Amino acid sequence: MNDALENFFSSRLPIVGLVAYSIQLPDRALATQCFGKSLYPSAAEHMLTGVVRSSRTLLPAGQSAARYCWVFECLRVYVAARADGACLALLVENSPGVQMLRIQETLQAFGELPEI
Amino acid sequence: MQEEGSIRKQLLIVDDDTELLAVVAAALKKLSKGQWAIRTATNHSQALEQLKAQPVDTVVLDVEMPGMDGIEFLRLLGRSYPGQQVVMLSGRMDESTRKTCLELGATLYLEKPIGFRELFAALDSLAGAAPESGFRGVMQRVGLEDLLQMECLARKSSVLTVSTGNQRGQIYICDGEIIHAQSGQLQGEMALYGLLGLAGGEFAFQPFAEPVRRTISDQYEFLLMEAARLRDEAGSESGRRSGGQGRAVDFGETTVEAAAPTEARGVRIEEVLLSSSTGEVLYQRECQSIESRLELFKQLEQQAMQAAKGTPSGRFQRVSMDTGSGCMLVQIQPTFRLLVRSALPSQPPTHE
Repeated sequence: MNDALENFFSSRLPIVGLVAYSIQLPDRALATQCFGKSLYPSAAEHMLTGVVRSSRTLLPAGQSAARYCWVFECLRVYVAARADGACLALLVENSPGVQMLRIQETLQAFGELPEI
Repeated sequence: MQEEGSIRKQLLIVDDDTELLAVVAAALKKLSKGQWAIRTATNHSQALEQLKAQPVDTVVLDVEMPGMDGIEFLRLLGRSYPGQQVVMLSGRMDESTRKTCLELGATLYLEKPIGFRELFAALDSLAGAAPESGFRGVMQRVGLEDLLQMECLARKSSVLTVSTGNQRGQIYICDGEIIHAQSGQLQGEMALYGLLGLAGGEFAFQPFAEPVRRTISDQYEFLLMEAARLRDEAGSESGRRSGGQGRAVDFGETTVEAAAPTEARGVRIEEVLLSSSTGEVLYQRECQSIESRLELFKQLEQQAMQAAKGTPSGRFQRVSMDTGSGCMLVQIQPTFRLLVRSALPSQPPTHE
């Protein structure tokens, strides 16, 4: 991960309720970090990459950037996909107390980052 | 003349309209069966003299008064008579006036025109009647989520009626779970989120009555959290979008906005498909390729299940997508599948 992204995450984490995040760069390089104890890092990475992949299939023709929310019974995944192909996926608890505003701000800020 | 011992409530009504004052005072006296002592004042200095001479339980104050308006007088009352219960009456249907009054300590903000019985009921509910059991009081500036949380935590059954100037709805609670909500033509979670997104208004708890149909099955904690999330997103969206104009606030739910109806936001529903879990089409509107959409339901469900393997995520429920110029929601429920696609015609994309 480059310095810009390191700074991006260090200035925004931790976020209450965030279980894991995964970032996929335009060159498809992947970085995942898991904070929750309720699931294995490998399972979190598998879930987030799977969700990102499935999200891309939903994009209508001519669109390259979007935001997604995948809702499961106990967890939800927020995805911000940029026009340059970079994606940020946040795995969040489905419970009261989650800092939703900060989750949203992080997704928004990711979309607005200059070149990654 | 009324006997002192039977007076239950002292009321001071302040309004510059002398005829209206006389009519309202007579009506309230009659409705209270003479148990309310009602005094009147046509201006603020008279009102202050009256209060100095004898305190009252409640001051009913008209917002629109010549000279010092009701809001200024409310501010003055707050300083001179802290704790004084004040009910504001106003012909202004604007939220900022209501908010200002409540922030300045008004207990209630009622909009005119209001019927005598309605006014009496509102004033009577504030104080006077002896409590049957437990505590009695007035909660000010309380959120609907707080009320629902209290009701649900206590495992109660009731119907919460919520109203604003132009919107009214009911939330049904049964044994501590929210089972149904309705607001205008909306029902279910949509109605619930709409009501919980209202900026302010009046509420009343009524005895539980079974709704025609139960439309909500999620746990109340999740519902309240979802409502809070919608509101948070509405807040961040309004800052993000130019002019703070209405739009769909959620990219985790379909195009629901807190208070404004879909049409008012300019959101255009472009496609709807509702099918059973076995693929039988139950409803469709402007769906150009039903087969491919039914296939999409299957794919999404499989992909979500595959992705979530080995995690404690539970059942996949829905996915939504926001491209800045449109939204799509796909909901996968045990008994049905739903796809709704909408467009925001005048909004520029924001994610690029």
